[in-house]
Amino acid sequence: MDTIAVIVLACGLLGGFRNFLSDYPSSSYRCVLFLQRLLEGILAAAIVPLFLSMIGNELIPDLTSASTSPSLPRPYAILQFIGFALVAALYSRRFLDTVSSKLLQLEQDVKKSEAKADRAQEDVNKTAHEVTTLEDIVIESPIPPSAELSPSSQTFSLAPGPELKVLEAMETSHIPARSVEGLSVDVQDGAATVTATLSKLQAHSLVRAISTSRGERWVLTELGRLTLKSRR
Amino acid sequence: MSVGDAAAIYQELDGFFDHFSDEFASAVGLKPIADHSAFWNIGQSQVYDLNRYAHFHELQIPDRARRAAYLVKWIQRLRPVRVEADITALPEERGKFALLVNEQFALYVASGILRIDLEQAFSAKMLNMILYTMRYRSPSEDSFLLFFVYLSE
Repeated sequence: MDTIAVIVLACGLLGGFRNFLSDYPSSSYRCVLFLQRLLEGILAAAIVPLFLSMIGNELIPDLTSASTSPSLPRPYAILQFIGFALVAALYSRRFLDTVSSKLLQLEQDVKKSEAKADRAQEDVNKTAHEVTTLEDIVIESPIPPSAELSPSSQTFSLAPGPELKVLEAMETSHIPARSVEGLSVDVQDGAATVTATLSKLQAHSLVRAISTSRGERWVLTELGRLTLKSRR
Repeated sequence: MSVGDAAAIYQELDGFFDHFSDEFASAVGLKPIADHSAFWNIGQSQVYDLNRYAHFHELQIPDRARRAAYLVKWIQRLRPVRVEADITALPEERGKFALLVNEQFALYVASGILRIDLEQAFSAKMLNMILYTMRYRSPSEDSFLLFFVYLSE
């Protein structure tokens, strides 16, 4: 730690003095300017550790022996740090501006990342809720034991095809109970095909039939709705 | 049915509602409730409309299309059916059915009067448009009349 402080002070003073000489004033404010340049040099050199940590450089742990497996031998690390500190002190104003603007940008990035993380967390919670609901439905739905044991009922995948078309037609409808004929109009397929598709979907508890005064109607089950949702 | 029989229209609506509410409850899981005074009011309003029409056209028995059109108009206006549930607390898919319960009942009644199952005749897209128009626009009975006459022929 002492090494770092000594390097920062020495390089800061050196860089500051060099800057003072390069724009040597003829006015009576010479003394003030001298102090100003020295201070800028020291500040810039002191910010080097922060800058190094921002760019992910391991030089400071190597210098302070905090690292158990230093990437550089200590003498090389000292020389490299002196180099950084000198450059920072020589270009103190530009360096300070750059680091401060980088810091502000970093802060904004952190805020954005936090917002993204929050959204991701919400999505995870929502999905978890849907999965729980799905589990509840699977557990609570009155599926006959034979259907429960059937491997096809557990591994039904909704690939593009008549099943998906029928389910989507049922989902988009604002009429809750659909007839085979109505669904045939929607999916532009024959009534026989739609009936077969509905039977297949019923076997997987994705739709159910209800008896009405107008004859048999078909309704999308909660499981069918969730299956459609999970596909998106 | 004679032109001026409000009680008969009331009975007819009540009969339609029994079947409709059973179907709706089976499909959506919510039991619709009927406002019977609104049914009566629809019957009276329908009688006024049909009398005016019969008198003007010198007809005794208005056709099914006109009866259906007038009934749809009055159901839309007097909204005799309701679902006692907090729609905001319902899942979206059940909420949309509950929100459109009167419009669905109107289509159900029209289907019954016309003896054409509108659900079987149209795609979901078309039915959704009809339901949307009934709820959020102001289609006149004449629009429905044209539509129902076209369907009946």
